[in-house]
Amino acid sequence: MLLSGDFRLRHLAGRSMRGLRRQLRRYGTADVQWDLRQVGRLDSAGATLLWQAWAERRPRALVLRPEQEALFERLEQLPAPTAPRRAAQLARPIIGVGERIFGIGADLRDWAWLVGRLLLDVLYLLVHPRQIPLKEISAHLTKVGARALPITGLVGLLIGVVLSYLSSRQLQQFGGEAFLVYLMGFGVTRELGPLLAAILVAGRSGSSMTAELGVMRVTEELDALVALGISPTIRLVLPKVIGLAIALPLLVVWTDAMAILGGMLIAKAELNMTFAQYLSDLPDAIPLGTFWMGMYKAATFGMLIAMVASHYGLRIEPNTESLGRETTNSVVAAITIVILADAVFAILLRDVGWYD
Amino acid sequence: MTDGCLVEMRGIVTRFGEETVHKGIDLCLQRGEVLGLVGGSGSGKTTLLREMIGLLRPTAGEVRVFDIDILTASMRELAGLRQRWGVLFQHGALFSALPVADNVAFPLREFGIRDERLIRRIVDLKLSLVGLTPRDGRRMPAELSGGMIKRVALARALAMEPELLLLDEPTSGLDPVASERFVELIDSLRRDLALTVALVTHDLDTLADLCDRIAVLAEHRLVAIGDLAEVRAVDHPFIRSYFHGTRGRRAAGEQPVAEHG
Repeated sequence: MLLSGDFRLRHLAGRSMRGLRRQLRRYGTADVQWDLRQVGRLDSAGATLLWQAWAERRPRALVLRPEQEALFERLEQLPAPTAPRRAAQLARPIIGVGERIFGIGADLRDWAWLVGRLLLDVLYLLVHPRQIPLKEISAHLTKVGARALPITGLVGLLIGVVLSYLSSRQLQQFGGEAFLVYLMGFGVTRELGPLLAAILVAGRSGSSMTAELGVMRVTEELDALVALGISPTIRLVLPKVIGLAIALPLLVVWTDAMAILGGMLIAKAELNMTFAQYLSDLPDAIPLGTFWMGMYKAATFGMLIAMVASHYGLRIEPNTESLGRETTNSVVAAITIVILADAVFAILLRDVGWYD
Repeated sequence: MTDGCLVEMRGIVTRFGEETVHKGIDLCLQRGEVLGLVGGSGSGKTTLLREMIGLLRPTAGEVRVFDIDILTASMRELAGLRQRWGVLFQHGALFSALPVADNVAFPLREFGIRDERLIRRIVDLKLSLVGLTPRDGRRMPAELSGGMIKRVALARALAMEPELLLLDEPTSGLDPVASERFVELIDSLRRDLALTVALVTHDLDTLADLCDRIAVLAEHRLVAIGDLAEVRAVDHPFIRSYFHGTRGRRAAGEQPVAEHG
């Protein structure tokens, strides 16, 4: 068998390769003499192609140029190819379910660890108040609070406009226009404001907190902190939790105000209600209990979001895929947990904050 | 253009905002040679290397690789060029989400080779070329030591059978033994595969053992180029401190002597 031409990687991708490969397969293991002296350029990819055609053995009669010798020597020294494992194919769904269950178990254990760690940190800080990370907390207040004002304000205003527009249409049907203020004031401060702000903050700050911690873990910055004798939970996690617990109620007040403002604009445009009328009814529309309930909810949501974000951030493995996956998980879990917590609040506090 | 220049850079000026990195650099990488780029920290060695392969555009100047001007080359020409060079980045730059074998196979699959059996065998071969076993192919980049990351990155750089190999600090972060073995590895590969190599390094031993010529970057210019003896003979403050310290002398094979002057 006399081979000629170039056997190079660059030619291995094209269609023309098929014919050659078929020919090689036909003669590969036949008892013929192989002469490669006419081959122009032979690189290791080309050599591997031939080698596989020869069923990973040196043909009994092989004539090479001296410089081609090294390539085939190296191929000869390769360990036999390992067959990919197929035995587990059937068991895979079962293994998948098992892994999922153990995964949930590990998740809960990590979560318990984080909550316990934070509790211990708080106790420690009560004894050593000078180590309270005030600077970090204040930095987080700016980052998650002040910088979120534009987006929460805009969304609050638009939701207020949409909601009051739809409601005013309905209320007009039975002459209940005067109740728009009550609908807006009560609904927004009790449910909509806290939920809206929490979901926006979970998407905006939760994801960045997760990514931040994740990258710090990957680049060994967390280990560096520990080596310096600084607790990463005190320095990194706790400021996030405290920061959001303070910032989210403030953001909720702001979101509430913007939504109610939106309602006021619609009341004027659709129902011919003057601003003065709307505003004078507002104090009656919002019982104090409902307002405070919104605040407590917001503080809880803030802590939950920060803890979920930190939990997922600390789980990130040193690869790009894990970073993306855990950041997504963090946001999805934070929003889900916020809504779950909201439902729990709604049930527990069902008798609080109604009109006398 | 000069005959035999695989990479030719002319009048390279690089500025990042206010900061000038290169003020007119001319460099010719000859076919088959190993050229070492040295210079102090921040002297723009890596920048120069990146400009060779079009990752960075110089502010002014001309870069020709395989006789193609890469600053004006079409997408098609660039795609062709990229198969002819392999790059080893300083920190390996392995794809962290892929196991080692898939990292090495990545350029092959991108190139359009569909035969998975062939790919697997080429990967085994490349891994053995850099002193790893097929078993290592199943590991993830995060599980590897620094030396192994460099080896895998080298295997990936060699996957496309490049003619030109660019190495950014190939031995940084390796212990002396691993670093020496890595230099030997590159030296043997370079002879076996007839590679042209440009490398950036801080390590004097690497320079002495591997490089045919050395280019010294200082004060935004190329202050010397030539073999080790020629470069050492140039009178320049940076060269004096770099090559004539005790370590520089040892790397050049001199006996340590008492401080002169």
